[in-house]
Amino acid sequence: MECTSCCVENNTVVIKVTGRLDAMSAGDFEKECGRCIDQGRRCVILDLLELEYISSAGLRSILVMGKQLKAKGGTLLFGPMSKMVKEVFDISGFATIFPVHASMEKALEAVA
Amino acid sequence: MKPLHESLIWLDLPARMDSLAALRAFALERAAAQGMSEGVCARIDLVLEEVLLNIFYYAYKGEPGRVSLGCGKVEQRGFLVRVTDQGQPFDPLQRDAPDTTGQIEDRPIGGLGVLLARQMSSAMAYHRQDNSNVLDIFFQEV
Repeated sequence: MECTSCCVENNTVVIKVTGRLDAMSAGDFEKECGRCIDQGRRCVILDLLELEYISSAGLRSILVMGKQLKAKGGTLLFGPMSKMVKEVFDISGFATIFPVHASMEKALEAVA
Repeated sequence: MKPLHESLIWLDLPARMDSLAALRAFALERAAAQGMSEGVCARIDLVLEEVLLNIFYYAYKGEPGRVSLGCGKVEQRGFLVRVTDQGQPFDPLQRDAPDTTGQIEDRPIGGLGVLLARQMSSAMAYHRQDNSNVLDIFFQEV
């Protein structure tokens, strides 16, 4: 798993996550997200298009971040995601608690 | 006809996180060797992580122990993974399904692993035998 964060404006950060988000890597992902929130980012957009694999450990980290952001008045949203990730999102009901946009442009428009 | 478990090929390792990669690779190699599709292999990958982590945490509760994985082709275009351990009795199928409909504030942290494992496999069956947990996970090519 690799995550690259890119600040698009003071308040908003895009985090691109690639590879596998599983029990081995979820801790590192959570740290990176925590770092962004600690820096004062209140709007986090996750780009999971090149994320090949996510397990419940990855979902757990995403939910933790979503709750933290919500408690601070922020928001967590998603750009496009790979087929495997989309299926896992649908099964776990994450698609109903987080906005998922078909493209990064649409996700960025939604927070503009 | 031979009993089902005799036609499986087995790997036995310590029940802990650093065995996960080897157990996963073993099952995926067996599945690929039996001609299972990439789609089914991706499901086996996910279900194994969820099932094995549950065994490490709930059956053994972090205590040392062993886990065995038996894999093999069954019936027409089907693949069976049998997972056995000698931990506390633990039937993942008896765990309540987590709420997947509430608002973000109401969603519990955790509990999605069993749901994913059930949805991503074609069938699962648990039984307790000779002080072991035995979980059969069946994957059917569609």
